[in-house]
Amino acid sequence: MNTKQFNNRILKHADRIYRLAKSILCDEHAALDAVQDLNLKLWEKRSELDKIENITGFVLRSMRNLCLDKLRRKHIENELQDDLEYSESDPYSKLEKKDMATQATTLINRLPELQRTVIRMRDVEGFELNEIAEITLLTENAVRVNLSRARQKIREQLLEN
Amino acid sequence: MKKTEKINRLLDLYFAGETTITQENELKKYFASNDIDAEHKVYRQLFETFETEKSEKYPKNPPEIKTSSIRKKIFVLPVISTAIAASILLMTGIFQTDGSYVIINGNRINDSELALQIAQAKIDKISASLESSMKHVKSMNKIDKSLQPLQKVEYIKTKIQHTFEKIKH
Repeated sequence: MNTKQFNNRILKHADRIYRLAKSILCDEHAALDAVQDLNLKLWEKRSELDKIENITGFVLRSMRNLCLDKLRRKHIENELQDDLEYSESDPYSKLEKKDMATQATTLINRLPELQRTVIRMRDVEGFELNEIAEITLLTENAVRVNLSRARQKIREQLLEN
Repeated sequence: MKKTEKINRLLDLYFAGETTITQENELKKYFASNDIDAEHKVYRQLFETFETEKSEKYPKNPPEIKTSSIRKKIFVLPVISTAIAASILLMTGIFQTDGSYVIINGNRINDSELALQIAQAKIDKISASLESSMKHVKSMNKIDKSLQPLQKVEYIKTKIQHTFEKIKH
């Protein structure tokens, strides 16, 4: 893949992967960092990218994996910090404050990672269930179940308030 | 079928995860309009949120951040070593700039942000290797300093010889 192809096929997804990273990490700066990390990694492996058929799915799947790795590392760091009796504010509440989030955004951000990823991929990005299944490495049925659970939780909470 | 009933049916399907993209677009269109039934207003914010989030863009000029893969600190002579690294890159032709694009390893990269990231990574690599080379130089300096008393031996020896000769005469 040459530079032009890289620009046209990879960098064009910057908005989508940024939104995905922000949804998973619940942190704007961490999301910006993740986008740069991923672009750099993909650029270094650009010669192998030609073999990939569904490049959109591949890029989004890579972004999700990278973010989940970051969350795992963060979790380990937080555990170590807890041992040192140091506590950092909850990332969800940080995001809520920063974005002056709407009630709906708050409800989505409080869903488990998989459910909020699935609901945003469908309702924000407009992906079909089979496309979400490919990105999340789930079956189409599992995507449907997660989507339904996510939407039902939000409905219940909207009606409660 | 009345409009309200139709929307109720679509909403039930939506929350059960059984709507098609077309049906979801119909709901989005309904909630974007000004003609929303009172009983549906509770859901309006949800659909508005989706539209707002969809318009969120990756910034054209993202703030300067420390990318974890290139988060390498230069401890010795940060400014000088970076300048040396950049000079080496320019001299060796690894990194050439020409207006709106950058050539790295023979590839023309039009995306300035990505090019800068790659260039920064290369500069960091060279700086790191310079840093390790500097350590050797520092060690050499230390050895040189510790050898200084030995170098004086020859001088003292000559002085003694001179003094002996003066005494003889």
